[in-house]
Amino acid sequence: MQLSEEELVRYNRQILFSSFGEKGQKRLKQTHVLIAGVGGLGSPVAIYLACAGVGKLTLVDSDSVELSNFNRQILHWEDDIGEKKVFSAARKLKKLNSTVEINPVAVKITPESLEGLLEGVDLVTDCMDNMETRFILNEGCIRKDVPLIHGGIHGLIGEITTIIPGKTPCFECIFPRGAERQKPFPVFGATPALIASLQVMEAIKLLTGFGQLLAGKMLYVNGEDMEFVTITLQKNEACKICGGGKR
Amino acid sequence: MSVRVVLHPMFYGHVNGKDSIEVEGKSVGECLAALVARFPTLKGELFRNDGKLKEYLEIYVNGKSAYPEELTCTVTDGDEVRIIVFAAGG
Ligand SMILES: [Zn+2]
Repeated sequence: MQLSEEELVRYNRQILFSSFGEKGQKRLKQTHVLIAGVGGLGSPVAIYLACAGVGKLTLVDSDSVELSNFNRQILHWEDDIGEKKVFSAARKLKKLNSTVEINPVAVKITPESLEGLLEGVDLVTDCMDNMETRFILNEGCIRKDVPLIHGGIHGLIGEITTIIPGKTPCFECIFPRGAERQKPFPVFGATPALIASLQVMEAIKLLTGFGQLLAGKMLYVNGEDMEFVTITLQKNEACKICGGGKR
Repeated sequence: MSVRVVLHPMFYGHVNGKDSIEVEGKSVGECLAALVARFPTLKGELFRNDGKLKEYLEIYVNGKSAYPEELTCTVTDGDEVRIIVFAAGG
């Protein structure tokens, strides 16, 4: 695969990054990322992955745009109220980078729907707003051997880890209690913006193979007092989903 | 007997900005009770009204999840109890 003259110019600033280069750009163009949730995390994740030149983005979200989304969900604008988020998002992403294939899917993520959605996908970004779907994503990704970049936020707190099936602890290992938190949750737009940016950095590194990943590590960010803490995660040998990284 | 309780960043404000606190206790429940006795505003963050742990917390002892019997999990001198919060929004 060759990059066009236009692509070489469009992506010039990131091609200048030596461990990425033209090789990384070509690789990115051949990848397919599934963005699970196009809200506070999913909006900036989709924007930066589209800008970066990922070949294909599948957007999955069954919700419609509401007024209360606007403090953080930057792909949705006032005229979009009532429209399905994936179509609202796809329209802007196409204008942002017409060379990226955008595949909007307005369905709820269930074990059944996820099976088909993961076909041909290189990476999933977890941009969900609830626990239940995260466990479904985790199980589907472990089963299909697809890496999953988890992001979560609450108020000014955020967290991110990269789950690599067979290598790192899975979501179930990390959160065996798996209970739901309060909804609606408090949040400032800057919190998902920050975590989403970190998710995109992880995605680009993972897809093109450079740098260090947050694999088996969780980074916690607390914007209230500007604390950044990384902890090491452990596999749970008794994990019913990954069997402690064996599956 | 001294156990180090490592707090999630969300709770630093309740313990004068510290990231961990040394407490005495033979179980996770005793350690957390000792912690709450010293820093009472933590109680509402860690426990529900019925005395059970809040749903969105995970307790790790020496790096391993203490689920499902977190509070009765025994600890000894030098152990580390870590409190993790699940930020579930997106
Ligand atoms: Zn697991």
